[in-house]
Amino acid sequence: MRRVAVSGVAQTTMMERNRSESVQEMIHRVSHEALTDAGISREEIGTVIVGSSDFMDGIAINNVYSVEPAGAFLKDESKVAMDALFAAYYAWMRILSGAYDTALVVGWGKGSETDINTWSSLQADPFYTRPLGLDGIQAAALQSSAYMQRWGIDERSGAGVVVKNLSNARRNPRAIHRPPMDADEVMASQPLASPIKAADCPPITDGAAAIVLAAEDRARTPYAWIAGAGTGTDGYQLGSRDLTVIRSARSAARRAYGLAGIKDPPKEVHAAEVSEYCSFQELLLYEALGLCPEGQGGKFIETGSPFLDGPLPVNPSGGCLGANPMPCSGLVRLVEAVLQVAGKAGDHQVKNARCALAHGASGLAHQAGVVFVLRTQPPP
Amino acid sequence: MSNTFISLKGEVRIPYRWTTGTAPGAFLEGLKKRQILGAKCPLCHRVYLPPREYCGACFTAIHDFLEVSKEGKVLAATIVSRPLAASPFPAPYVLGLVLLHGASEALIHRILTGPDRVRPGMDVRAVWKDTREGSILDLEGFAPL
Repeated sequence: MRRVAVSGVAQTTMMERNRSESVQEMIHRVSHEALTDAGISREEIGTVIVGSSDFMDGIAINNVYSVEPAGAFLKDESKVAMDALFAAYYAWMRILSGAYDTALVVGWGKGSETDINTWSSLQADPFYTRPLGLDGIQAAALQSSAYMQRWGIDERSGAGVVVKNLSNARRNPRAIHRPPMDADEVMASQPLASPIKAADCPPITDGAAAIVLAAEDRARTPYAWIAGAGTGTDGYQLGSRDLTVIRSARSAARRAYGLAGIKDPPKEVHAAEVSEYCSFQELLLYEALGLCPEGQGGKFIETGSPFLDGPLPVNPSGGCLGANPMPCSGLVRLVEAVLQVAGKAGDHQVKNARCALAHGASGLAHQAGVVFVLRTQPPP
Repeated sequence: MSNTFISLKGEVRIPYRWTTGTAPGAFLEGLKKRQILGAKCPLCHRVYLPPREYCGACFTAIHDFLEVSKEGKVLAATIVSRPLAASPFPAPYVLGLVLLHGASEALIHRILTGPDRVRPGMDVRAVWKDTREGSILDLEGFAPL
């Protein structure tokens, strides 16, 4: 398998509302920054893959609109209509195939410009679930409720995730800096769909990210090497799924770990950036990604393990609770994982991180997942 | 770069006329008659609810639609205090996953009980609207036995 590096990264400073740039201006800026960071010209880039949502932007086949700002004019360009980390996976595949040596991957989202809850409710099918008003938060609530019930997880464990991620976000110059909260404040926040309260949810965010992938001989500035990656998907109807396990993340991680030769994730993964669209999902992800045993997500956070100063920091950047520019949060997780293994994460750097995981998700209650494993050193 | 904040409002409204297909068609028709239909895979015998014409695991067609019980258990529930998208129900209400006897999977619907009364595993029974038109909302929800 070809060795592929991430040789350029860029992300906008995430905002709750970016009043001064349109989506197109944001895309243009972040794409330029990634190319500059990689020391590569638009002419040299082999292919451009974007990850974004028609519904989010309010324009059908929205990647035709983003061709020029994403550097794709007269190039081989394609799009993945899921979280932009899936676009990175597709770009990686294009390079592995040998058809291309370099790729630019761009993702974006301006949640402030639309109603993201109506957007998420459109994922529900029109016959059985959409008429019930099912939206992303209610789906996540059913998942969180089923999970907590199965393992006797305390609702305060979710609050622990919020406390951690908001605190980490304050050390990340790119995240949205909200006032820190303690567990009591999280528990007292506005109930939405139990157990999810306002504080358990990410902020509506405007942001974009871009990366450059390059095959070994073309990577001028390899920040990190892709040791492995994988995707996984669960069934569609919530009632057909075991909501107590995020199977999509589990199967994506197994594929990624398999390629990366990882047999003992808690020992071999030094930092993990995961896509928690609500606090409780981070607990489910600790388990699905093999960072702790099944059923122990609550215990894992209670013992302090995933905190920035703990043995296995999860979301040192602040995660989605820090900033959630849907649908490119997963790509931001990848950028952050790259910064970790490159030693460039500044105030939220995990010491001696040489192997980091990035996770992305799409679909109600994480129906689909994608995982990348990044290392400082190239694969053997 | 200008400091003026300029925005344009718009809305996307697209009409659809979805063909229900065999399974939703049978299910919605069944609701009118106060029947809840599942779909049984000929290979693995899993009873899908809501029904579909295919088994994802076996990747085979399903032609067998059968009535399941109107009673079952609540597997998990959430108290919706604040629906953030359009909802047909006045808040607060309870949404739950109901595993009806005879089905292999749970149906999502409203649980007709006070938010403080919901218990995982509670036994419930379907409650119907007096006038039914072939919609999932022909069910008011599921009430405790």
